[in-house]
Amino acid sequence: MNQLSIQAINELSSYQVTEVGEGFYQFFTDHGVHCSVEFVLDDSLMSRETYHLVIVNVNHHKSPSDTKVRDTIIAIIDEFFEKNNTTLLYICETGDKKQALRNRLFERWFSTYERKTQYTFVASSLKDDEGIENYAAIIVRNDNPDLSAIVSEFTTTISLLSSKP
Amino acid sequence: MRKNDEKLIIIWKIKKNNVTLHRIFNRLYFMTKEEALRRFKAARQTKRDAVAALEEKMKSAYEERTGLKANYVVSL
Repeated sequence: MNQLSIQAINELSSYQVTEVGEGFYQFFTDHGVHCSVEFVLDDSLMSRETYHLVIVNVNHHKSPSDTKVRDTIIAIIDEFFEKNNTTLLYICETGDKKQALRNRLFERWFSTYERKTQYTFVASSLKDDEGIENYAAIIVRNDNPDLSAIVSEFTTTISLLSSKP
Repeated sequence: MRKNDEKLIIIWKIKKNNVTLHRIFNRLYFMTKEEALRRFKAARQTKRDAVAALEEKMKSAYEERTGLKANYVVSL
């Protein structure tokens, strides 16, 4: 993964972002929330270079909704794509059965992104062998030379899982 | 020419010219539902492991920094 520019991120973000390690960024909100964003390389689902988007928030108490968190995460993702013309994969966590909520939130975040027309966003839901509903999405830059192959691979894999036996 | 021979020629041509394309072709052309499920579950597990590791790291960093218990941990 090519290194992101912290300066470029902070020019767009609402909160001050720092780099903790390679592909690992953090910021602190007005409500005391400690947020981390990490890009994790994984080639198990897709053939081409693909990174998981991992976001974790930690706090002592429940904090109110904060649009500055969304803006800051979008600034980090924006810089990720500025420096890396690869695939970003988002698979919703299912452990607490709140995957549909996470999926809606992620789709809402992307829909508010002002440069969304420069990207291809493909989202889908599928049931695994335990009957659990999963949500997965990929984001790829429209100028990625392998765009059609990437989208085709993702949709083919997901449709195989969505089809009845 | 039999259909299987045609397949093999296509595979050979792709393999010769582009290793990545060959991998994609192999995955799509020969992938079964079981294989797709295995791949999806592997990707999901990678994400889960990354989330678990990050949660642990952040909880201890938060508690060390603030002296407060990290009661609310949310992952996306």
